[in-house]
Amino acid sequence: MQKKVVLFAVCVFALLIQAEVFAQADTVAVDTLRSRYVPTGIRIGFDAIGPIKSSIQDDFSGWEVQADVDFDRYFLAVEYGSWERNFASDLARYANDGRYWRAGIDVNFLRNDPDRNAFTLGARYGRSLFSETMDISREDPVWGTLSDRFSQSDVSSSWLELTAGLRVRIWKVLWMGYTGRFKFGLSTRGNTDMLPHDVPGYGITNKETTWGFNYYLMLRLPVRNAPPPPEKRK
Amino acid sequence: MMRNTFAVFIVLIFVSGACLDEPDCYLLNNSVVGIAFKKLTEPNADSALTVTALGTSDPPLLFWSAEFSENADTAFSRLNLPLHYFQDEIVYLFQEEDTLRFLRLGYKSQAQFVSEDCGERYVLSDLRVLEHNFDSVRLIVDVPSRQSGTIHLQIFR
Repeated sequence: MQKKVVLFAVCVFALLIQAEVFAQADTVAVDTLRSRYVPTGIRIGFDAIGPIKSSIQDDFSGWEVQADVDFDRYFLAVEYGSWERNFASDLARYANDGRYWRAGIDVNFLRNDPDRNAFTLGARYGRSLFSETMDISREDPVWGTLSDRFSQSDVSSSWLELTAGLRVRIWKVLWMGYTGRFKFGLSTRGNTDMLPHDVPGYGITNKETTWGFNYYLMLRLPVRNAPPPPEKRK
Repeated sequence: MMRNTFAVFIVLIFVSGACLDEPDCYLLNNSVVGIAFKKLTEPNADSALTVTALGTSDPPLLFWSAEFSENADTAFSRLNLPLHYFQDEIVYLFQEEDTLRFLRLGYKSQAQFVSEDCGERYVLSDLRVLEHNFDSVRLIVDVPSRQSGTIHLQIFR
């Protein structure tokens, strides 16, 4: 499954680049085109929501870092993070802890911006490895008092995301931006006695799809001078 | 331009927060199995099983007994019975006038935390007939239900 998704992403990326080359072959020199697909910089950053959420919510602790590199209007994006959840009530106690990563491609639809600000649509493949425990105690009208502890480790989940984002240059190399995520296609392996309640990087699992939001503060490290943006067609 | 961008950031943060909702705590477990009794000679019609007592062996529970029931009708054509979600099998006992019938069912039970308000739920699946001393038992639906209404097993006598 993982290989198929990666292969699919590579094929889509190759087709998008090929279509771009053919569309503009009559007006732009080939050398200029090739140079446009050489990365001009690497952007690295962290999610500002994670630390804020960790400090104000007792049941959450987490962080996330991200990086992307440009290939003309396309960005190869990678995100890595960690999160823990702790829910406790008189009925049950639940805790999980895990790491996750996502990788995918964004396409910029603000091509002519002089500051290289970007509005992007994209896709991600996400994967999470985590452990979880649950302690329960309940009074059942038929079976009486029931209590038990469920625990499982090395549970892995994968999912897909459609993303929309904005990247804005604030000052020199300082950037900020957000990514909204529509998450779907969650599948989990390694679970036996428990079904996951919360998957690190994905979220609550009680519905077929879910939403996510990250607000990033980033630094962009230039590696070469960017070519001028393409001229608007008359 | 920059002011508009900030406005979009703020609006989206509030929208993402407003989309959160709480699950309903009602009928979380799918732990009900429906049984229909039939005769081998008339498989399309329900046939009543006359019992004097009905229960489980582990834990030893008496669900119903003619001795303690005000209802004089001891014939059941359909039954809805609870599955023990802390176990992966259960034995139902049906005491007829002169015969003790049993039905041993296997299933997969998985616990899932729902919320701090609701606690946990149990998702049961892969219902199987392991052993019985009826003439024949046919599995119709292998996923137990949250409430009565679905027939999962047909028991032929």
